[in-house]
Amino acid sequence: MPFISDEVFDQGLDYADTNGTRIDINYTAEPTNYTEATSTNSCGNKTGLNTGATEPGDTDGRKVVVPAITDGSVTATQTAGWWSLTDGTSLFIAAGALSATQGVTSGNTFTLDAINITIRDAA
Amino acid sequence: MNENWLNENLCSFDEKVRVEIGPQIIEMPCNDDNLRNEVTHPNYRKGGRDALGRIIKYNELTDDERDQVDASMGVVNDGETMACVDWREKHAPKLWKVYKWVDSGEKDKQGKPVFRWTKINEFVDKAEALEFAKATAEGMQ
Repeated sequence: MPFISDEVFDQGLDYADTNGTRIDINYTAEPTNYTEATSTNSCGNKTGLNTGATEPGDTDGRKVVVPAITDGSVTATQTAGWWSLTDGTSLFIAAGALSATQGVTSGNTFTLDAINITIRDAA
Repeated sequence: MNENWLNENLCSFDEKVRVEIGPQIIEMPCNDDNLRNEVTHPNYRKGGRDALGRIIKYNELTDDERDQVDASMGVVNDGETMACVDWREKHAPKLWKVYKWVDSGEKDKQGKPVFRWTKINEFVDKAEALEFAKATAEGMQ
């Protein structure tokens, strides 16, 4: 397909922008739903996120950026391997692997680099 | 018993038991065929991590590539069994997973017990999952 309007991508990404207010770091296994993302496999979280507006993707398509975090709360002493974005209530929005695992200790804080959520152009 | 649908995918029974749909984590041989994007998600690739955090095809990475990956959660070499989330139900149906709110055995920084939703069962059939969840929640009263 040679062309899809940016608006088509943006209305999908707006869902992440509007609802993505909590990020968790996850351990043991890649989370598959909201419950696993925020409880079963969560070892830390940061609430009150303000995901950025849609913008051009790095290669093509469109993206939103989850801002870098410097003060996430670690809730369990584990090795985090994934992140997950939710609305903090019931919606599972996105998840992915961390670029490197992080050993974290309960009661400490964690940091994360900014995360791009991108919808690539059709091939 | 209060059955509360938080959205179309997630139901809570008095916040003691939950039912939520989700894809399965499937096991398959780690090989070039199964790492094709048509078979598994593009994130599952040589040098990437499987659903359990292990580096995929570690044995085929160059020394430089090994220096750039984090193998602290283990490795899966060519021909061994890897785990992948079947996000698009290409191999297995999504399941209704049942979770119970239980003491995880961990303590928080104040020394209080940490409770987590812990998976206790899973079903293809939604009605069966809800029936099981309701019975479990009633048993916790």
